[in-house]
Formats: sequence, C-alpha cells, structure tokens
Amino acid sequence: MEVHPAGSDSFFYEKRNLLRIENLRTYFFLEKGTVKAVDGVNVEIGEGETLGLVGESGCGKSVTALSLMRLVPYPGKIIDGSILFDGQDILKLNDEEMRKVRGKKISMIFQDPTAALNPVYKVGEQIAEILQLHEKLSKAEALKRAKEMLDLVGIPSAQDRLEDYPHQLSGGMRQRVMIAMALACNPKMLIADEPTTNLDVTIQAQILELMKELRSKFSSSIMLITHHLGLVAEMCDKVAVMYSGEIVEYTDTKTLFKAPKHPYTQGLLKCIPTVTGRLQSLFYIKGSIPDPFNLPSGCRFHPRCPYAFDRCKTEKPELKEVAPNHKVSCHLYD
Amino acid sequence: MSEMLIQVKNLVKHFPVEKGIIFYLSSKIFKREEQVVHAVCDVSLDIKKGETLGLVGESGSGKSTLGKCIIRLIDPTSGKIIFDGTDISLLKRNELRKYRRKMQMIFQDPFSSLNPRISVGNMLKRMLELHEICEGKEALNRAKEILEMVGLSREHTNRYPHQFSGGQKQRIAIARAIAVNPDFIVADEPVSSLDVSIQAQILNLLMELKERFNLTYLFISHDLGVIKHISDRVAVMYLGKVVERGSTEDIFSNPSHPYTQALISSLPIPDPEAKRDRIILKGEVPSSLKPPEGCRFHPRCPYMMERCKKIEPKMIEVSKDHYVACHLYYEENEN
Ligand SMILES: Nc1ncnc2c1ncn2[C@@H]1O[C@H](COP(=O)(O)OP(=O)(O)OP(=O)(O)O)[C@@H](O)[C@H]1O
Ligand SMILES: [Mg+2]
Repeated sequence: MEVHPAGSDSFFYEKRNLLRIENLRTYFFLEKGTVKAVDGVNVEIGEGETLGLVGESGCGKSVTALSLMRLVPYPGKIIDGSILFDGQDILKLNDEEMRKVRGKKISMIFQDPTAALNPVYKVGEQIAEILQLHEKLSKAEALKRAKEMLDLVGIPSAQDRLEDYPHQLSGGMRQRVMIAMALACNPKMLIADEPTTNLDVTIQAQILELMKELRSKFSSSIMLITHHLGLVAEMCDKVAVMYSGEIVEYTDTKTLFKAPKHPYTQGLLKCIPTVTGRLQSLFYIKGSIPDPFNLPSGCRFHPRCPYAFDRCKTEKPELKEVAPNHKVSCHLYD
Repeated sequence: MSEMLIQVKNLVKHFPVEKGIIFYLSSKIFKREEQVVHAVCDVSLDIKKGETLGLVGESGSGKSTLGKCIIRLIDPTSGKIIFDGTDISLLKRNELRKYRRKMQMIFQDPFSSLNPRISVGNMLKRMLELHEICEGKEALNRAKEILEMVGLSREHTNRYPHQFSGGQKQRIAIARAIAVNPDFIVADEPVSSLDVSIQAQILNLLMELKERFNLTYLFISHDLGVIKHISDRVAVMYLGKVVERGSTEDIFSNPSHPYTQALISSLPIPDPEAKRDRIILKGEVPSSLKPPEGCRFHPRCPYMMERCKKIEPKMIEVSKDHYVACHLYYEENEN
C-alpha cells in the first residue's frame, strides 16, 4: 500500500483525520448469550467532514455512537479496539478526562431526546450547566449563551423557553433543545443518532438545514447515523454501511449511490420505493436480519445474498480496498 | 371502476381533553370552557372501488382518527360516512355488525396489535367464527390457507406472535385483516415500524392482495416515497383538515397548496447529485387544541396574505379532480 504523509493514512487523505476508530468491539454480555453489537469496526472522519453510518435496526449504529461517548450501558462493554480522537485514544482516558471531552469536544444528539434531557430541570439550566462546566462561565453568562443557542436553533421566544421543563415542549422543540445543547460548546465532533427520525418531514427539513449551517459555521465533523438513504445522499461526504455489527462497505457518497459493490448495499438502494416505477413490484432483500444470538457462519449476509457461493458460508470476508477509496467486505471481489 | 365505495361528507371528530377530577370540578365551579382537540375538522373525500387513496400529513394531523372514523371504530362527532351506498354514520352497534366484516384495519405497530396469548391459527379461526364465515376444522384449514396467502407457512398456525419477526408480525396482521374477505382496508402506517428491506416485501404483499381480492385501501403514511409508490390518489392533511387532494400524478408533479409544496420538496432524494430546491418552513406545527384562525397553515405559510388570517379557505377544484383549499387560488374578492 502507498504511504501517505503522517496523520493522513486514511484513503480520504485530503483532510486531516479528527477521529479514527480502529477495530472497535462492543459486546453485551447477557444471560442468554453474548450480543456482538459492534464487531470490529474501522472508520475515520476528517475535519469538517460528514460520515454517514447506515444500516437496518439492530445492526449496531447506536452502540457504535455510545462507544465513542463511552456511554455504553451495562451489561455492554468495549472489549477491544481504539478510538483516536485528535491523536488521543479516548478509551485510555480516566473518567475525569472523559468528562472534559464529552459535551465539549465530542457531543451527541441522541436517538431519543427524552433520554438526553433531564425532566426535572429547566431547559435553560441544562444548557447553562454544560457551559458552566466546560467554558467556566458564570451562571448569568451561561444562561445568556443558552438563550443565544436556542435562538440559533430557531426556537421562537427563546427567553421564555429557558424557563420551560422538557415535557412542556413539542417533540420538534425538544429535538432542537438537544441540538442546542450538543452544539453549545462548538464541539469539534458531533454525533447525530437519527436526529430527525421521529420528526415531521417539514420540521425534519428545518433541522437538517440547521445542521448544515452549523457545519459551515464551526467546521465541525459530523457522524450522521440513519437508516434513511435519502438523508445520506444529501448530507454526507462518505458512508459506512453496517450489517450485523460490521462495516460491509465504505466509500464516498457519490460512489456508494452510483456503483455500490456489496450485495447488501445494492439491495438497500434498490428497495427504496421512489426508485421503482409507481405501482410496480418493489425489489426486496429476502429473509430478515440475523438473530444476534445465532449469527450465520462465514459472511453474516450470506443467507440473504443472491450471489452467495460455498466460500461465503465458511470464510468470513474482510473489509478490503477493492477500488481507490472504496472498501468492501465480500468474496465476490477477490 | 368509477363507482364510489366510500364517501365522507363534512366529517368532524372532537376529543374532549381529559384533565382529571380537579379540572372537572373547577370547570363546574368557575365555568371554565372545556378544552377539545379538533382532530378532524370538516373533511370530505371519496374513495373509488378498487383504488388506493393515500393519506399523508404530519403526526397529529388527524390521519388515524379519520381512518378509524370511516370504519366506525370510533364515532364521529358529526358528518356522514357512506359505505357502498349506505349511510353508516348513524348505525347502532348491532346494525353495524353486518359492515364490520367488510371494513378492516391494519395498524402501525404489529407488536402491540396482536394478542400475545393466542396462537396465530386460533386467532384467525376465532376471527372467522366471529364473523360466521366458517367454524371448527374448516376454519382452521382456512387459517392455514390465509397464512400461505400472506407469505407465511401452514406450520406457523401453532406459533405465538412473539415467535415472529417484525415483518412476519405485520404479515399476520395483514392475514387477520384479509381473513374475513373485506372490501375495504384502512392501512395505518403499515410499514413505518419496519426496516427498509422488509418494508418492500410488505408493500408488495399489500399490492398483490389488492389485485387478487379486488380490495380498496385507505393507505395512511407520513412517508411520501411510500405514498407515491402505492397510491392512485392522494389526500394531504394538515391540522385536521384535508388541504389538497388529487391524483398521485397531480399531487407530486403539480402540488398546489403551499403546505403540499413544502412537504414534497422536503422528501430526501436518494441521489447525491439531485438538485434540491427545498422549501424550508418556519415555526412549529401549532397545537390542535387551538388551531390558528383563518387558514390553519397561515402562520407557517410563505405566501400568507391578510385574508388568510381571518377567512378559512374553501376547497376549490383547480383542475379536473384536483382540489385545493388555499386563498392563492381565489380571485381577490371571491370567497
Ligand atoms: N442495553 C442493551 N442491552 C442489550 N443489548 C443491547 C443493548 N443495546 C443494544 N443492544 C443490542 O446491540 C445490537 C445493536 O443495537 P443498536 O442499538 O446499536 O442498533 P441500531 O443500529 O442503532 O438500531 P436502530 O436503527 O434500531 O436504532 C442489537 O442486537 C441490540 O439488541
Ligand atoms: Mg439506533
């Protein structure tokens, strides 16, 4: 393989890597068995870049995100790998150091806003608290900033909203409060886990616009987690497709949509209703996602793959670069 | 095909807001006004035999309430529902029985809409017996056939709902709906909780069954891609009102209500090189407890005029079978 200048050995070497996840494994140890929620994930995100992490329910997107924040819930555990953020392995930080990273350098928009907002504190206090912790602002200064943040995310009469408790806000507003919170300290890295999934489409459009604006203002990097390929096409520079805890394809957005290589990615793209002619039969991927307690041998996608051959049943394919800037884990490309 | 199966006329449904005993007492003492949710407000539409009418709109816009009113799962506050020529809006429970079989519903969440303690075979058998279609061994055999029709196997009759995946559960819900040979099915977000790869399977199944049994659908979804794919005609709801309806072609290539225009422009296109002229609306969807006066969309509308604040626009036909409720399509002093 070619050697690129230091700090840029990703295949997207134009931009300096801000985050690099290497061989991340996060497992849940349950009575029934072990769930390999994240099983050897490698991705990197450059400065100012947006990476899309896509895949169907349960493939491990959220657990990947929670691992980055070091917020994996019990009985889950990161058992292997490293997460290099700005050159530093955050898995090696102690809790105190990690608190300084969380919310300040890396922040997260959670899939469920009710989980991220504390129901017994006023919205203003919650945002102010982060600012007091990280920016060492006084309470009054922090509240002033909090109001500015709410303005920025388009919440009307922000001053009054500071006094509201989370339950007094609509879903769209709560989502925006969480975004305001996530962006309060101009994080270098934003993890957005399905930031718009539960929102109405017109509100969704408002929030996406906001994320784009903030990206250009603060040149933050974003990891956008979604199962919606339309969003990826619109927002992301590059995409990693996950299946059953593993990355199966990884390339820039244009290539992924134009020339997907993994049969799973090809299937996902083909089953979008708007791609097929109206009222016609849709393409679909046969079968369903694997049972986490009973993973298929070899390639985890083989039972659903239209091209599977003998080797797929026994040997696990590795994620390999099969064309410039295009990684795929599939025996078809050997 | 032009015959109407369903005609809905000026349908209204209000829900009183439950505030608990204290509010109730204080409202008696202080004569406070009772609050109501205006879930469906003066909706008129029709569905032709054999067609799929897609119903889109944001959450809380009244789609499910409208669907449930049409098949009389809940009682409308006022208005008419005509099913195959008969006014069913005022029928009593026992008179409705005859129609129950003909109108079925598929719900969004396959997990909670199935009884966990009854095996799939028994569930279908009971359904057939309840509607006096067949009974006993014959019903059980019929249940097996129905399972095959929805892409499951005969052996699945002895299994319980929790033993199925999400997509399979939705197939069971579909089996239950078609078991009694209905004419009309309200499918309320039937694929929203499913993964994309499974969603396609279920949409195909619904289209197949429609052909095979000559069904008529009211298909409720907030996913415009799905609506576009499956519908012959589309109605768009906003805060309890239908603001536009027309053929799928008209709605998607020539959306006329500013809300429909925003809705369609915000559909993410799965193509990184697609041109996007997105209309970004301002503000929140107002509460249906206190819908705005005049046109309900006016606080968010990019083309808002003075009269929109005061006068509620009526539906007008802008082109053949394409109806819009918006002042933009009226001459200055009309209306
Ligand atoms: N707290 C937990 N305890 C046990 N298992 C868990 C827990 N959280 C996640 N898992 C398991 O880890 C796997 C990955 O889940 P994850 O939430 O990351 O999926 P996802 O890709 O985010 O799905 P979705 O699209 O539904 O959000 C799943 O098999 C899930 O059941
Ligand atoms: Mg998730």
